[in-house]
Amino acid sequence: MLFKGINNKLRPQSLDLHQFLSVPFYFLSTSLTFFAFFPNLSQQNMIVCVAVVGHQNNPLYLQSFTGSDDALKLHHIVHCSLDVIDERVNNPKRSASTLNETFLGLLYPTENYKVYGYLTNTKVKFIMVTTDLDVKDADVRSFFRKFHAAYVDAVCNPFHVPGKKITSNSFSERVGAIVRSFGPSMTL
Amino acid sequence: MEDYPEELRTPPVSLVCLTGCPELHHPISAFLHSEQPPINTLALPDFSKASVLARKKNRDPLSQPTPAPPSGILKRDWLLKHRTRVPAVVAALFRADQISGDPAQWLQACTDLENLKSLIHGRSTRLVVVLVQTQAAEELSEDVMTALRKRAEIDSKHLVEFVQNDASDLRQSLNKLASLFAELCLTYYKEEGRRIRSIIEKKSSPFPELNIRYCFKIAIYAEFRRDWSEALKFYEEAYRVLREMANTSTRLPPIQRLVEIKTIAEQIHFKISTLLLHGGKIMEAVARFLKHIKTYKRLVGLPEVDFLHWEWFSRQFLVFAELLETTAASAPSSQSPRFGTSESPFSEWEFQPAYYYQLAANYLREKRCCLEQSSVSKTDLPTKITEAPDSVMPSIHIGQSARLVEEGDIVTVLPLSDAEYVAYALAEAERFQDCYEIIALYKRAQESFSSHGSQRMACLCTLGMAREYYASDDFTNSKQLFDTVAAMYRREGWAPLLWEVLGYLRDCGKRLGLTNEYTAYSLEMAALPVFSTGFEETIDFGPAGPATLSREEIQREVLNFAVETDGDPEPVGLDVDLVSPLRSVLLVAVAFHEQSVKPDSVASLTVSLLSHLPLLFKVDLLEVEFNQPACNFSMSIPLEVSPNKWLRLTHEVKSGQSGKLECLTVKAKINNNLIICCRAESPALMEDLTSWKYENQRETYPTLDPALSLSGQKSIQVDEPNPLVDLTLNSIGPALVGEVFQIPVLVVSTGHVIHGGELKINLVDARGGGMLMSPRETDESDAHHVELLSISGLPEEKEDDLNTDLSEETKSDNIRKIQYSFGVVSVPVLKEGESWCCNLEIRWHRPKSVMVYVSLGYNPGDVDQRVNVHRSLQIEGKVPFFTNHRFMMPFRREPLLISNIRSLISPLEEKKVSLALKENNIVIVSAKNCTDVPLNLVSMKIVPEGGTDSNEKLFLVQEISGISNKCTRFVPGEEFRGVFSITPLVAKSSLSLGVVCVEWTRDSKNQDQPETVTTKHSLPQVCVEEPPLVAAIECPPFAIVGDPFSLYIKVKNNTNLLQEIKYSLGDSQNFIFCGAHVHTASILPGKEHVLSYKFVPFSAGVQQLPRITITSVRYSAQLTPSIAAGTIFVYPAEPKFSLEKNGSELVV
Repeated sequence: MLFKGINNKLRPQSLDLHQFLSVPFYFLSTSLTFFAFFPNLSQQNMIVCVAVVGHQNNPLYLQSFTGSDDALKLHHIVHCSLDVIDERVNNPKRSASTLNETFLGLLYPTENYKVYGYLTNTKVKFIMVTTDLDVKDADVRSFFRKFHAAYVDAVCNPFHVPGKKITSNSFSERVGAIVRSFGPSMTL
Repeated sequence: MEDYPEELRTPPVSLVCLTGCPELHHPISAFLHSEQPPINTLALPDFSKASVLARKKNRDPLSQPTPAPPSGILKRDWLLKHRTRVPAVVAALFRADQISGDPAQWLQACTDLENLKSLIHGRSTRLVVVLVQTQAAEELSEDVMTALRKRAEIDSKHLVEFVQNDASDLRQSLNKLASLFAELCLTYYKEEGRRIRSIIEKKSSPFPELNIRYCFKIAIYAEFRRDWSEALKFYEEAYRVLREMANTSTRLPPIQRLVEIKTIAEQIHFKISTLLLHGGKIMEAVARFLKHIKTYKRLVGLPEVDFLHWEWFSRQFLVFAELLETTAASAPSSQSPRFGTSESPFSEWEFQPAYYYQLAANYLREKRCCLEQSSVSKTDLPTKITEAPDSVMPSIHIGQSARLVEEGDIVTVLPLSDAEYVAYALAEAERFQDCYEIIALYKRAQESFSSHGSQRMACLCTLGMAREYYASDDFTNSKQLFDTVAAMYRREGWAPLLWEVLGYLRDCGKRLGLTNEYTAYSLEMAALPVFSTGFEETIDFGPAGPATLSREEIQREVLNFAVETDGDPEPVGLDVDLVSPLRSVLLVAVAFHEQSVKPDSVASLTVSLLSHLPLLFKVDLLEVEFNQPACNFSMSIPLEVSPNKWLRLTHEVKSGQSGKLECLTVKAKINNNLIICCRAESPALMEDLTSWKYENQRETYPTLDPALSLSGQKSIQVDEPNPLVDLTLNSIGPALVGEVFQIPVLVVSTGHVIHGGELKINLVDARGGGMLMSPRETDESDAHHVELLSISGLPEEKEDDLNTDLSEETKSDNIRKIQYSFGVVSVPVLKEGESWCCNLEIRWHRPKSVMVYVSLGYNPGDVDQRVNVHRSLQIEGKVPFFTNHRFMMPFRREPLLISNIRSLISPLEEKKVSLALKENNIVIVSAKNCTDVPLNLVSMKIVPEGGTDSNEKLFLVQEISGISNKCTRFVPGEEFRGVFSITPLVAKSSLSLGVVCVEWTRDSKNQDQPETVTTKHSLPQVCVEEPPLVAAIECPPFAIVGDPFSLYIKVKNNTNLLQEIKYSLGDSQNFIFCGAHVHTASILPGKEHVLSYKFVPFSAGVQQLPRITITSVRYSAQLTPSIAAGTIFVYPAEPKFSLEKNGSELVV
């Protein structure tokens, strides 16, 4: 608990040069791999977590892209946003135009994150957590489309058992690439 | 929200001051208060009290020549002052007699008015003079009124007469007064607002504080007159200026400056939110709140007082949640079609108070963390600063504090330095226990979330509560809450979240001294599928610690914990049932290799153990328990259980007891002090482990043979021992309906001694259905188609006469119970080689195929178990005779039956045989043996219904030809005919002729007196009617060529009417005859008409007589004799018959 306040400040939220300088050191200390992945550090704050959740609301894949201490917090956020998905999916007042809509929209309001949801036709849920508070719906939709395609490829693998967790490395790499390419308009 | 002063929380209400005539104050106040909008009253009983209205000397700072900087933004009591002390209208009440009467009184009134005028001088407060009249009659003169008005310097409409003599007048006066007050209040607040607005517009103030203050005041005045949109506009303006000021102001030391700004911002924001929410603009309110939060979130201030910021921040959420809750009715449920999309950027929770409660709790936790830090760092500071000043109190400005210094009688208020303020704030903050407040907030959030069906969010709030209890060392409550949270995460398989909760639970168990719980939680943690994520060092897992290392550590700790307390006589026992989370620690599958086994033979079974603990461990002793304790076994060889790998043990058991043998539990003793008692599970019915079933692992089977893993059961059926008894059922061919059919049953012991033998007989329809009766006939006595009559031929009965003593003894415990299709009979004790027999007597009422099931149950001797032998036999029930009947008329005699003619005309009517009254009607009954065995026919007779000895004879029966011999043998297929004559005596439309009884016996040579069985065939209902005409042909039995003979046709009229008949005779080449060819005749009632013809035959042989036709005109009926009736045999010459001894010639 003691480090929480300090880390909050370290997490660059406004793109301020002073804070930027602290970031590489911070990442160096925690995860070298991520540093290698992100030559442009402005993007690593975009998506902090993606998750695939199965029929029993069980996690099938959860990857966080943050080096800080809030991996568990992201678990909680993803878990709680399932409530909103349940409510939206079971809400009978959906109009005809939204019946076949897979994109569920903004799920969970937090001050630091935005959580978006997506429901495939096989009732598998995708959840994405981003720190970009001004993200556009179109970008999120396109992200989910790509993510869905990657998921479909992963579960088409004959060695994947349906309903089990996704442990494929190539899936992880592909998801990493999709996450990195998210929101290309965002620059320094 | 309750912390806010009343005047801030409620909308402002206009204030009116009443003075003079105190007895009227109460009704006027009450009336004004109940008006819409209400008006508050400041009631001064007499004019001397009016000095409270006096104004203090504080001039507008801007109007002074050199404007001094203001010492604060808003004065603490300003709002209260305007709500309680500064009226918009002052009303002076005078009695009419006071004015018009005594000059001294008039003078007094004038003085009072002057005083009032001077008090409100300089303000825009309105003066109203009310003249109170007790009676409408005492009207004041115009002069007095004018004088008074001039004295008071008011308009004529501000001088009001108040008449109170009766209720309607009073009401009218009150209404008039109220509308005047409302109008004046409106004017007053509008003018005040305009005045301050003009100040802002005129002079651009160098001090933003004043701008804020003026905007706030304008907004308040606008609220007074319920102009919400203007109020909102100026609050927004004040809020904006305040936010700008935060970066520029240097008036106060930085910490206190920020505190003041935030306090003001909070109040202004509260006003804005309230206005928006009460105006139904919930979306705007939420958006405004989010903006407020975003604006101030990073305005933390100096690190030593950041706890003040988070406390303030938390309060923002709490207040907004409470505001939302009080206006919950207007939450948009149907407004937004879909949340979370571009149409509606909000999500569902942002309209729920629970969400804000939860965040308030989160920030209060943040506050506590910062406070703890500040308290720690406080000790590092020099002591002189850390000392809090003695008497700190809120200053006259909102959001500021000041120090009160007393020097003798003089009390001075001094400003505080930042260091003093920090010390004061710290000391204040440490006095409060935040954790209870945090728990209360989480509780409110949790209840609200669960009522909305958001269980996971409620679960997160519960987790927050549990953490708080844990932090405040209340482990009992904490454990209880953590348990509910853990159940949720377990169900959905969120292992990392469960890991954290279990870490807390484990610690709670440890602190509470619950060894079993501690061990159970630890083992569950160790067996969780939590793997490396790469961030273990930084993840805040609570007391659980990072996952990857700890799983092994925890296992080592728990298992070695057992070793350390080796001297402890009581080992830790854990029960693992089918729903326990500890199944992942040790899962036991037991599968028998076969489904059934013979008694006393060996059955193999596989006991498989699976553990998901990260390290290998040794099981010192494995005890396997069955429902038959004799089969229990244990293994004391140390067994090594590897992680995630089935350990399969095959063992053999032998059971001597028939029935089900089931494995109940398997106890594993680990390190001598941990005993895990697992419920055995069948591999076929085994459920996946909730935590591991989604893990992408290789699928393994508990048994080597995968098929056994899918079908294996933890129980096996132990068969009964083989019976050493012969049970035989014999039968002789098919059974015949009606007879008592005997089936001999023979029981021979071939090895077992039969004790307590019991023979059960069951008759079941062979075609299925089981019913031996037709459902409609259940009430009748012979409803059962097949009936078990009795069991005969028992040895006891035969020997009954010989040894009565013994049989009585045996009879007492004999069971003998016979029902229609079921029977039980007891079998005596039979030693080896002995036999016992009986006959089952069964009667068939209908032809039916029946299965006879016979089962013998007995105790074979010393062993206490039953052995059963079953036999069955299918027996066909057959009808012995196929019986038929036919009705005829006597030869050459034809009665005219009207019903026969009618049935010819309308053939659809029910066909019923008609018999002629008092005529001999012939019935021929045929019976055919349709069995495979020869039968003896004993008799055949027609028995009238209700017996032969009926009082009234309806008809006469005469047997014309029957059985000549006593007993006639019929081979299969042979037919017998009996001829009966029936003469009805009564005309009846429906007459029952009774039944034909055929008595027969089986043709068996070995039986001396076979039983006679009667088979019945019922004759149909007939119609007996009187024929109107009866025609009879009389003709000799034969004729001789060339020899004439006579033929008479006699037609009798049985009616009382004259009957006309036509008759005709055709030609024939074999005969010549004399008589009319065609003619008519009339027959008198009751008479008989005879037509006489003489015939001479020409040729010999069987000859056809000429065709005779008789027609009844009345009935349109024609009689043509049948061919047989119209045939005669003609001899070529007179026949010579051999004569009898007496020499008499046969004469026709």
